[in-house]
Amino acid sequence: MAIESRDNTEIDLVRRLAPPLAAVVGLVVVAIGVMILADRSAATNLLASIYEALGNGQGAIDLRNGVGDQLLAKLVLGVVAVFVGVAGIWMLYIGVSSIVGLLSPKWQARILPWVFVVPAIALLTVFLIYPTIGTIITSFTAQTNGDPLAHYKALNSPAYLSLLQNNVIWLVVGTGGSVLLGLLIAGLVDRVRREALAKTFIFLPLAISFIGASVIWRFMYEWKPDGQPQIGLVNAVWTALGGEPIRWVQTQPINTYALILIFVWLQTGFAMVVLSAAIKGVSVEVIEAARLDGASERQIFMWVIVPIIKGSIITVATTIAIVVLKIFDIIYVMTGGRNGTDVLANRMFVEFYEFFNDGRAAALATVLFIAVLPVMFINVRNLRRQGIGS
Amino acid sequence: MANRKWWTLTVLTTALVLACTTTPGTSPTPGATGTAGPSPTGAPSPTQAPEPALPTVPTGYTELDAALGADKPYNGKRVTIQTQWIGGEGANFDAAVADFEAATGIDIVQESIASQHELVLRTRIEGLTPPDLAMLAQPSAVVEYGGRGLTTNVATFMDPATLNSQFAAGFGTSLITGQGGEIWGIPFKVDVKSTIWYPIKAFQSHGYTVPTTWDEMKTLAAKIVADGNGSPWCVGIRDGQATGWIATDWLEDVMLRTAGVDAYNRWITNDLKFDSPEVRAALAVIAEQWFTDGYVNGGYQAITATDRLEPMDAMFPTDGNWEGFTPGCWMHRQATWFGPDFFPDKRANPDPAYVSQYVVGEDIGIMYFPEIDPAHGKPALGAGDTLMVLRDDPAKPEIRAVAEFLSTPHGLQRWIERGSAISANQTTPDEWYAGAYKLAVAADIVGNSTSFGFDASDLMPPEANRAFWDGISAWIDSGGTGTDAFVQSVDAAWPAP
Amino acid sequence: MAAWRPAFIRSAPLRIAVVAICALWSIPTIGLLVTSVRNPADISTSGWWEALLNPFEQGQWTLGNYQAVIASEGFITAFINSLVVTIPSTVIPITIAAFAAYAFAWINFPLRGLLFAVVVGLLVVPLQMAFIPVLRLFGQVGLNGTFLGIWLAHTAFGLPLAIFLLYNFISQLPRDLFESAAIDGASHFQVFIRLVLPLSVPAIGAFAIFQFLWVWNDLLVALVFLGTGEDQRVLPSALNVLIGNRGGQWHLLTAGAFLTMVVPLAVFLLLQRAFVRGILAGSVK
Repeated sequence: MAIESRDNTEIDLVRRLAPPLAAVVGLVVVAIGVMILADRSAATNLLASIYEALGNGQGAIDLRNGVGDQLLAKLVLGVVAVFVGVAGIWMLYIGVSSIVGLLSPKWQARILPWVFVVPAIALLTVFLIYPTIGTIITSFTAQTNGDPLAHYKALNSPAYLSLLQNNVIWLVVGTGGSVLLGLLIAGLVDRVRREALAKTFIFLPLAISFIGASVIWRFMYEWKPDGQPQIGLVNAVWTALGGEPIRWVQTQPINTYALILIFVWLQTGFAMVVLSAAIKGVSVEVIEAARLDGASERQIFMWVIVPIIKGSIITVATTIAIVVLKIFDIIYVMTGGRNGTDVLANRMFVEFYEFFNDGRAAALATVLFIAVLPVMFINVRNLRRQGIGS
Repeated sequence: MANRKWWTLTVLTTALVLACTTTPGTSPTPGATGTAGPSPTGAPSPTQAPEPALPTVPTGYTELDAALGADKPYNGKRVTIQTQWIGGEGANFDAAVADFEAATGIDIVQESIASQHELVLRTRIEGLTPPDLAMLAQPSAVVEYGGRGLTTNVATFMDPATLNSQFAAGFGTSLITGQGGEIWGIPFKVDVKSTIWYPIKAFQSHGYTVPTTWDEMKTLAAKIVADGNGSPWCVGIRDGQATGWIATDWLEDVMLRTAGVDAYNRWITNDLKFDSPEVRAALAVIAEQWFTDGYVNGGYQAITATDRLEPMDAMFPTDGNWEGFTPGCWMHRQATWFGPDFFPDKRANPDPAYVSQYVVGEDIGIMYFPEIDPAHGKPALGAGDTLMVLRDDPAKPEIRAVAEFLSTPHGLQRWIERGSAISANQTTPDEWYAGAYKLAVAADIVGNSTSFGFDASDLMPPEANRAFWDGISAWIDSGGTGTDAFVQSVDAAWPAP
Repeated sequence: MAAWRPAFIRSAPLRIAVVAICALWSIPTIGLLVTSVRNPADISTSGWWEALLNPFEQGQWTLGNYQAVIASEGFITAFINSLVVTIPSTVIPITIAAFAAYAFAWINFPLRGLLFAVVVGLLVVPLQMAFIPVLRLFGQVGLNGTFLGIWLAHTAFGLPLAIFLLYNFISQLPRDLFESAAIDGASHFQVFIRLVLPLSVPAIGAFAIFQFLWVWNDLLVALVFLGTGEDQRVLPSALNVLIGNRGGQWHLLTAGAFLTMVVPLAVFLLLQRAFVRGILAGSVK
């Protein structure tokens, strides 16, 4: 009896110790991982150490001198990161949860949710919440010569106001264009046999980066002097129709619209997918009833379907609007904000990096943030109304 | 921002004029190259002894002396320097420091970042992970970094008196200093900007002569157009985010000649506004050459569309044969940093050892941007690259050693010998410049000039600089009609003091 | 709700319209692809559509552009860098987000509503708000220009979306599932591991694709936190540098652009369904 119970307690002990042990191991793994990874030359040092341990001294020396298997070193680093990031973090969670599991149920119920939530909240606080507040404060304190609102007042000048005007144009045309085209295409494509294939074509640009799209469209907009062969498709078509080649990206105000076109090309697929699913969700009976009433397909689409999917339209519109307000890459790469195409996000970047104006940059970022807030409220309210996220 | 002081004419004029073994008179004329073939190739000219490009020990700088010592205390160390020199220029810098690297064992790693050099530098400095050293073309940015304590005051380890004697204030050669006597930047390389590249042989075969006054220039341009021989001007200014700086050079050269150097210096500090008769008059001079039909190759619309390395391509015959060839354009206003490394045949050839078949001094020449208003004489516009020491770590004295080396004339020696660089250090031996056509011309221009101006846009505050670049690009795109918008936008962008 | 299917309308105008739209959408990308395999000399003298019209002409197709870009512009290093940046940035947020999403969905705890609202709110915070202070913070701890720094940054920036997507999915799991588990005496933790995670694979997959595409295609975060030194460039940065240095050389630019696009396009084409499902999960019930 005594022996059995001792065995049981021993096994019990091991079982009870294992999870906290996992926590410790997890902590150690993550800590070591972070230490290895935090080094600037982490990749080379890591592989060099491995090589040395394996007896490949020359390989290690090569690595540290900047030659040798640099690429392999990086891949090894990536693998280590994935391992630490997944296994390490998992073990931490397991371990800490189990430690909490050792407490009384009352304390468990209190603490466990926080175990689940704290890592995310911590990361978000460090990387998003604290910086956002910091930036807002910077806009009131840096380089203001005593007047907290200095930067905001400075925004009331023609240069900045034309910037804001551009953002508004982007908002209206970019969002409107994407949503309307998405709706239109969703409606058309819905009735075609090879629907999925057609959708893929429209949707594909979504996988292309903004900078990749910029190269594509720079080429499309390319200008050659009149008389020389046009290598950009847009000017080729334009001259074939009898016009003179136009510098689409340099000529104001058409250049902003040329840039917005790129955005619409990219984002319409997103709108199309969402609205297509929404259209399919409209009940058959309603459609049939309208048909029986003698409505044409177009009338059905405009007056029956669209109002019913209004919620989805708003969702898509607000989501795209948020992206549009923050738009940076396209302008940065295509024009750098020149020739009247500048927008808030790009200007913020320039103010900080080229003009050393931290305060002004922070103010622009804050204005961007404020502009986005109402759109976000509409989005969330709309989602709740649809019953999502409640 | 910093006041430009006048250069000691006598010292440099004598020195540089002596440097030219044949003095081509008061203005550089084509074909006056009876001397030892000016060939800016990789091989040093025959008069050069093949000694290592190193200063003699003791140099007076502690770390440099130690580095050059026989025991090579810094052997195996790495020093990083960020520059904007890619391609041929980057190779030239590497060659310039090669002997030093061999003698000391220090590995100088050049990080060439052409299109976003300032941006990347700022990111790295701001993020507290700067390169050890950096080269910057804008003194205003150097002062900004210095004021914020982000770059090292080299006066803490280099004797200010020595530096001041080697870098007397003036034409791009002065130290970048702070309010309290700190020295934030040491000038390294100087470029002369009042230069126009042209095809010597084509000029001869078509009976054109190099203009020495602006009136002659206008006549020549009209004649080229009337003869149906292409366009007089090759102009291309596209340079990514920095598009516009070449056009600002044009305006600066013209301002010096039409408004004079006093007005020019007031212009730099915005005491003379952009929206002023002087600036508008200068713009009108340029407009006449750019916006008149047929004057610019490709029309004015091509100016901002053509990459800065490409506009001169039309000047070259595709098969290397000048016989019977009429260039598409005849004159390319560009500074002395340009050269055979950027000629089309060299750019198209991936082999780094390939040297352009076109010889500067025989095929392609350099003329002085002519005077416009005799009352303002013959000014010279220049710019330069400044060395900043971004990291001063007591545990890494090799950084100081490299900085000290680069401050000596030997830091640029090999580059000079390739006929491609002018040192800012005034103790640079004159014989190094001998025999290199481009440098002879540059020295001549400087020697014969009556006043000097440092590149204005590099001295203006960053907001104004950017507005200047963007504004003039937009002005060009508008065909010269948007003058009001241009000048007013720059004045509006000027930050409050 | 039964979905309504219209009779497949065989009208020619409709089909023509659809084909035209598909063609219009693909033309820009096709232009890029065709140009990237053309002779450099041809590119500046004729439009790429002409090459398509004469596909069998000798000497106009070449893979040399790709060779040039790979050999001399550091695209291989950039490719590896992109891999090394993207994969951990995709995988690491999943664990952290899944735990949090589950807690928000099925565990009652104080401040739950407020915290969740904050998380969703963070979805719209522009990155520009964050990067100056984070840049300085990284500077102080020496994380600038390191991979660890950018992994952490992308993980944090991706968390709001991850939590949002996973929350939407997990909160719609049937309640009885949890009730019977509670009856069996399972702790939250066991429920999470044994029930929720396996069932959430579609949502996790959808997020993984989003995050992968977003991180792979990202320029700004890499520009700010990793830098554009030759050793650390990711593909979009390398392409950006290429644009700056070789503005008019379309043979290199198009090849380089296509190289940056190959992986995301492949991922997208192969995993389309999951991608679409992910989009819909957040937008349509």
